[in-house]
Amino acid sequence: MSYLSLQAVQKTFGQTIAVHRLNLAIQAGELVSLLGPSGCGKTTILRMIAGFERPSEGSIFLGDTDISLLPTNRRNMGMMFQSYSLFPHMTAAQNIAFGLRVRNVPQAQKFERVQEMLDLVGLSGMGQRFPHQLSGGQQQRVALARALAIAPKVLLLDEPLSALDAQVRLQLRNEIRRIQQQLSITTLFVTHDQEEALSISDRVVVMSQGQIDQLGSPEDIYLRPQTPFTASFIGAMNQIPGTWRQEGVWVTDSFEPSADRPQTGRLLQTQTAEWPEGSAVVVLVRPESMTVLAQDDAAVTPGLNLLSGLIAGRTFLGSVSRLSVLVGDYYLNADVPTSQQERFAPGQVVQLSFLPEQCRVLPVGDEPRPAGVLTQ
Amino acid sequence: MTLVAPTAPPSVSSPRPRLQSGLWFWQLALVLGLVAYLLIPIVGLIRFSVRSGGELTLQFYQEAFADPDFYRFLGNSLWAGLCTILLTLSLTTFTLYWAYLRARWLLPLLELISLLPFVVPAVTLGVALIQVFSTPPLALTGTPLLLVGAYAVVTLPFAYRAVENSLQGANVLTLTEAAESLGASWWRIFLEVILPCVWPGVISGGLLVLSYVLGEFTLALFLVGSSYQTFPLYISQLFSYQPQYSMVMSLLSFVITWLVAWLLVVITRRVPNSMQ
Amino acid sequence: MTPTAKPIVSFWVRYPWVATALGLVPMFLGLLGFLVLPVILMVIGSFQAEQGWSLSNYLATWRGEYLRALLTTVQISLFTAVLGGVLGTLTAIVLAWGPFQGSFLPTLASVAANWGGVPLAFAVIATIGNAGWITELLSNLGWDIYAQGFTVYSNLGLILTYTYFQWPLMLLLMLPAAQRFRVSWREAAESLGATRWQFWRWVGIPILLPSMIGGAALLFANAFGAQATAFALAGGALNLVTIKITFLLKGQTDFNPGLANALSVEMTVVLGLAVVVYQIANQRARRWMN
Repeated sequence: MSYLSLQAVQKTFGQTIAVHRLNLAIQAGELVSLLGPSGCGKTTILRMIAGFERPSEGSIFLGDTDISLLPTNRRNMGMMFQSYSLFPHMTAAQNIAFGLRVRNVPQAQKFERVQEMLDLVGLSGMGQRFPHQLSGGQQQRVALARALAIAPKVLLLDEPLSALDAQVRLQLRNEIRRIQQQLSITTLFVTHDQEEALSISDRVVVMSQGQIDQLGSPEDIYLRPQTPFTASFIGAMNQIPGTWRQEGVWVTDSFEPSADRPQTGRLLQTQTAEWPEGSAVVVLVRPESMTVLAQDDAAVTPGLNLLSGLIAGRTFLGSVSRLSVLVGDYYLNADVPTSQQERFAPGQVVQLSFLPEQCRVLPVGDEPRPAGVLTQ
Repeated sequence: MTLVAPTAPPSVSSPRPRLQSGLWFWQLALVLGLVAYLLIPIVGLIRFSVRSGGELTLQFYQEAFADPDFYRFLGNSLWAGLCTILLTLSLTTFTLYWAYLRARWLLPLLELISLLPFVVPAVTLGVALIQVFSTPPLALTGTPLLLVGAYAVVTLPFAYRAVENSLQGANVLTLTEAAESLGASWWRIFLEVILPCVWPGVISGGLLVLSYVLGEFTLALFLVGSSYQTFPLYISQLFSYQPQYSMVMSLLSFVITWLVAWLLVVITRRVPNSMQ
Repeated sequence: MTPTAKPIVSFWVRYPWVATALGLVPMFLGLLGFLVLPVILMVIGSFQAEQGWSLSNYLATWRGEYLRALLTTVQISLFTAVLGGVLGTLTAIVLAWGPFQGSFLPTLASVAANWGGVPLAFAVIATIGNAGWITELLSNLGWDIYAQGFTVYSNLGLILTYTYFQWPLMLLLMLPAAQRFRVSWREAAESLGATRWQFWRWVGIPILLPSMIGGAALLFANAFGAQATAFALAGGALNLVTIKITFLLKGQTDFNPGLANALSVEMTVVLGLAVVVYQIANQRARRWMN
């Protein structure tokens, strides 16, 4: 029995379907991220769980109680908003105490709980400050403490970090994870930032157009995307168009037709999959999985995939440099360590090599993906 | 005689808190109550102006608009209004731009001007001005010149608010620096770069000033009285000997105020967001 | 002999403050001549009687009809500020949060708030005066309000009249505050378990309060300084400060500029206080709402 579950939940606003017959089960104590571009329905899901929106169809269960029709103020869920949700006329301590005040908690107990919460979020001694006297990060800490003070059954986080500076964001997200694990509180975290979702979640739900695109552990989502959407939404991903054949994927490689290699294509070895012969597929490879070889480099190990191309551009990214390589009539990105970037200049012809295990093959097109066809 | 322009549609499109739907009756009652409260007196005006001995007639409209005095006095008001607009807006626009450019410390002080009419209402200003300008070297009492001067002071807030909004949106400092770097003289910059940018604000301000002057009674009574009759003075005098005419004129004044408000809404809507 | 090259430095570059000051001169002179000096002279005049410096003008304003006029004006202004303030706030909340969005009502409100003065007074007379249509309507329904002592030329009539512009003015002053009220404040309160009543008592009203106080202060000042509406409505029948000043300055029998000066200075002090209240409240509202 899952702790919190959505069963065939649908939400329509007028003509638009925000959430489409969605099923989701969350276990007690886990942190699940809802990740997707804006307008994908992730916030609507959170708001339905919080009770601000009512599902058009379907039900939401907490344990085995249907809470779909319960008003927000009786759901006992802590919510943290994007920003500026602190009551501006109350001090941090009064903000944290609000939920307790509503519940008529005795003064002494309330005071103790507020101190405990302030300590928990690392704001001891700042209880008397007003929101406008706190930084954005501190305000969000208070908001977290306020949500936690009522010992909520579920913690709902609605892009709580999106209005913060990059450094504060990083710090606070680790803090949220630490506190979540310490209290082992069931948490739903809505974000559009993939790094945020991958770094702190037990499981990630990638959403697109009101539906779950893929659900899995952060590693699953990153390493084994099941759909072109997830593949392109998470991290940088090369998509090489090709045709599925028995012996591999045929991709165009028309950059350099020469005497010893007259054909303008290559056969790529990939992970095994079963698609109809001749169907259009796309091969997915991450830039960091590509090895770039200059023409004078030693011959490569057999079994590796090879594509040749022309360096069109080079972007310095810090620890690596990303090359944009023209292969056939498409560009591929490949990362080289910064220490080697001098070896590769635009205009140079190079070979890109990558392991078959690092290629995933997905069918092209919008047709629904046949579930379970992909094998690892 | 207040200082609030119709608000532009809210710039934040964020969702608003919703009221519980159970309150719909009270919400409706409140809104309809307001509309009724504001329209019932207008109905009174209309009813009074079309009835003569129990019969409906447009006679009073014909007669009121046939009175040559009406055109003279409305003309007086319009003339004073135009002069005021010219004076207030040119002064405000230029001074504000100048302050933005060279004396930013002055801006908070200038902002206090918009509260001025609440501290020094027309009555007080009238009392103050009438005594200064009635003694010989400055004997301006009774002349439209004094009236325009007084109006220019009282209407500063309208002009200030409207122009300030436009200036803030237009990012004048950058525009000026860009024009300067291209070699334009500051006079040319003001006329050819800044003025077109704040034009919507200037027009809004002008409409507000006009609306104010066409309805202003107190200063006209104090400072010029019968020697330069304005439209509101005329409405007020009509009442004692031909009340129906004054009802017709009151209606006209309401229509003019409506017209101005409607034009303001149109202008606010038409201004692209980048210039607001 | 070659002359040493002199750097070209324009006067305006060397003395930038001269240009700055020159640009501000017109506005400065205008305000000085038509506002500051006259007001200063008015203050000086209020302390002068025939024998020179004296407080006699002020002493005269603190007794008899003038004291009553001051008190009545304060009462009426306070009353209409509170009445208009409450009605306007509620309407603003309904407009901002309720189903009636759009610009018709704000436009109507801005017309009503700006219209005031002589035409309004006549419209009110045509509505609830002796022969007004509401008066006739009510008496046809068997309720003769004039027989029961009501008259439009009274304080009650004035309050009803002032509400015509106070209510919409408060609506316009409160609308931005109501629109800036964040949904997340309401939702946070709700998710923390607050009932509707608890939300209003602990969150909604306290957050809107500074804007309400500021708006009411402006409404107070607005009513306090109003002259045209009251003058056209009832002339000398109403005992208000502005009416008294009008007669002291324009009247044949009451002519007494010194007294008018003193009353005007007192008005300015009261209005100044109201505006200070507005400023303080408004600052707090801005800090909370931006």
